[in-house]
Amino acid sequence: MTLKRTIVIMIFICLVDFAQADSLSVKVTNASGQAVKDAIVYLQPKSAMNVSEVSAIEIEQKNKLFNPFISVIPTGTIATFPNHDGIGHHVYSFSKSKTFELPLSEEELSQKILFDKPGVVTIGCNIHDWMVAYIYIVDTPYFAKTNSTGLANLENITPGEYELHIWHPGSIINKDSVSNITIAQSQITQEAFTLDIRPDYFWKPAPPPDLEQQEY
Amino acid sequence: MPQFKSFRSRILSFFLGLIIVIQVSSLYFVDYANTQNARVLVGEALNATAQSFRNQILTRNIGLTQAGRLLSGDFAFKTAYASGSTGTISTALDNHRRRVSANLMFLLSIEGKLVASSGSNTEFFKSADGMFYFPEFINNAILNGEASGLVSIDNEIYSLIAVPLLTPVPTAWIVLGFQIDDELIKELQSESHSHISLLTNREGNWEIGISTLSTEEQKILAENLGMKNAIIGKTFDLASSSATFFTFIEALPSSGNSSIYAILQRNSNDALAPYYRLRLILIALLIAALIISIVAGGAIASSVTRPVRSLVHLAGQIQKGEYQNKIDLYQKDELGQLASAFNDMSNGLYERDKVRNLLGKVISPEIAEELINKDVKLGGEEKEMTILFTDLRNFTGMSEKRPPAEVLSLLNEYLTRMTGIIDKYGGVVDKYIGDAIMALFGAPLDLPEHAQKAVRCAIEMNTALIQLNHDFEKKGLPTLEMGIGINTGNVVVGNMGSRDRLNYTVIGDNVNLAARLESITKEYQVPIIVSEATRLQSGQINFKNLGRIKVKGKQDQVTIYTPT
Repeated sequence: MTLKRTIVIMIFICLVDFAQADSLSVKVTNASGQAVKDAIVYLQPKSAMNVSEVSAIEIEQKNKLFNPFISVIPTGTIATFPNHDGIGHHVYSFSKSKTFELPLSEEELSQKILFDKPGVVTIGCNIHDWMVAYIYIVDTPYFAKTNSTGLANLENITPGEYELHIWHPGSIINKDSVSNITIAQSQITQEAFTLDIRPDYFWKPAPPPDLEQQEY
Repeated sequence: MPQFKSFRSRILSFFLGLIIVIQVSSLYFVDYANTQNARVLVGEALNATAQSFRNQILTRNIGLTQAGRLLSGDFAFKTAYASGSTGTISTALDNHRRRVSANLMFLLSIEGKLVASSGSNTEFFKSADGMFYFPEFINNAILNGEASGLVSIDNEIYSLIAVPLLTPVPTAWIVLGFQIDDELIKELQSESHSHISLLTNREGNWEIGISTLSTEEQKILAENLGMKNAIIGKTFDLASSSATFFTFIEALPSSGNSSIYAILQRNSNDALAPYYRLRLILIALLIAALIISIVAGGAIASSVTRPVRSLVHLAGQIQKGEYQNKIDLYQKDELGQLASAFNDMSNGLYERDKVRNLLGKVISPEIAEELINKDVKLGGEEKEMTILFTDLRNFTGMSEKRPPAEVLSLLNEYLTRMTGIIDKYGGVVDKYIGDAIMALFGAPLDLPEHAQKAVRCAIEMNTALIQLNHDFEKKGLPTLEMGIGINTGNVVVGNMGSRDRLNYTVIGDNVNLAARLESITKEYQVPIIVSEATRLQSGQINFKNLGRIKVKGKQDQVTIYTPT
């Protein structure tokens, strides 16, 4: 299958002379070397570890788009989907981690949804095809999202053995890229990943041209 | 150039040849232009049919794609798909396939794994590894977000479209399709009067998918196409078992593992039928023009050659000396002028012959000939010849006692007889002077031994007179007595008289001597007296010397003789 492309993963580990903190810096680029924004980077502990305390996020519906486009949250996080548009939206997810449906509503405040299983939840709006958002639920306190330069930083990591997971909604392998990593004390670990990304329409449908583009 | 026996056939051949060349070449070029035109028109019609067929498929594909897009946003369908229940998904597919009137419906994973299907013969679309049968089609969909095109399985041809199922991003492919069946192409055939065949080309091999041709013709088509995919979009001839087909190949949007082409064909005989009718009409016109040309050309040629043949006939008659016929041709053209000139010429010849005949009677034919052939002018030349004179003794006295008619009859009989004998010996009667004859031997034509011939002529004339007298006696007519004088010598011969009226004659002393010798025959009681000069040139003839006489104009006496 042509879909099965080789994923090139280059790992550079640089040992720094003086210890500042136990931290990890990951750079994600695509096949043509451009920075990949909104890639989820997290460390999955190989031994059981306490997750951060329960928190809450908002994924707002504004200007017929979800904002933020991609969220990464620890398990047990509660999300609300406030509607600022003044028109109805029909928020739903068929994802295995959380299947839910918020039937057509113009209400600004919606019910709270608890995300208690790790994994990807793809959220859509039944009446606006281009409205897509992703919530990645992780079972670890160490997670981050790449910024516009493709960088994600994880800090104050308890030294030890981890699985380093990289995920992006457009990743051609359609699942996490996983590698083993050891976080040593007082070291800054730097890693670089290359992900093959599918065309946008597979993961970020273009809004209609007449809709004002909004920056995430 | 062939040699023609008649002017008429030459004219006819020329015009017929010209007409045939013009007509046949125009027939050829009209035929050629018509056939080319028919070819172009049929090619355009076939092309239009091909485009119509292509558009029909594209339109239906667009319709299916739109239906697929609606379906991919259908929340209930998404819910059914998300349920993961095979039974639910299958029945949902059946339901939606009916909604959009498709023959086939599949649900595939993004990678192309067959998840569920609905419709007939869907098992053919599943590979052994559980993947959809057309990976190329799925790759197209992945690359472009959607896909559409023709595919073939076991020479059955389907049109397929793929759209993603959005939940809310693509998680599966919805594939919808319909089979291109006999009904579809038969409908197109009845609209376009063309044969339609759909063929697949897999690595250069043609296989018939579906066709309105007979099975046998399908086989021939697949065999004959060969490398003809190089001429897609052009009309060309393709032979079949029964006829030649104008053929047009259109590449169809195929999306599978083989290229699919629509082959449109029209029987060239059907397509050219109106032009064949036109050709028949042209050939009929050609034949009609030829017949008219033969008849009219023959008539025109006859109108030219008939007078010519009349003229030829008339010329033949004129050659035979028959001048009484005239040609009647009341035309003002060159032939009319020629006929008129011919008549004038005939008249002229008639006049000339009349004159010549008359001249021959009035004067001796030899003299007449001399006058006609030479320029008639006054003057003459000196020439040696023999002159013979005859005269009848006592004829004047006798003629006074007898009726003039009887005298003239007697004289004519005598002169005719004597003239005949003179002619026989090559003499020429110069003139008749009453009952006397003056004859020349050696003029105007040269005569060898003229003296001897003149003497022998005189002897025979004398003998003839004796016989003539016997006849006269029997009839109770008076008998005649004749004297002949002959002299040989130089005389002046030529035309004498006035400018307008002249005589061919001889003059000189020797002429007078001959006359004198004739006049003295009576004294000597002999019928013939010749001069010494004549005797000397008379060869074997015996003479008796009669003595010497004094002759006027001569100083010496002349010895005279009579033949014995």
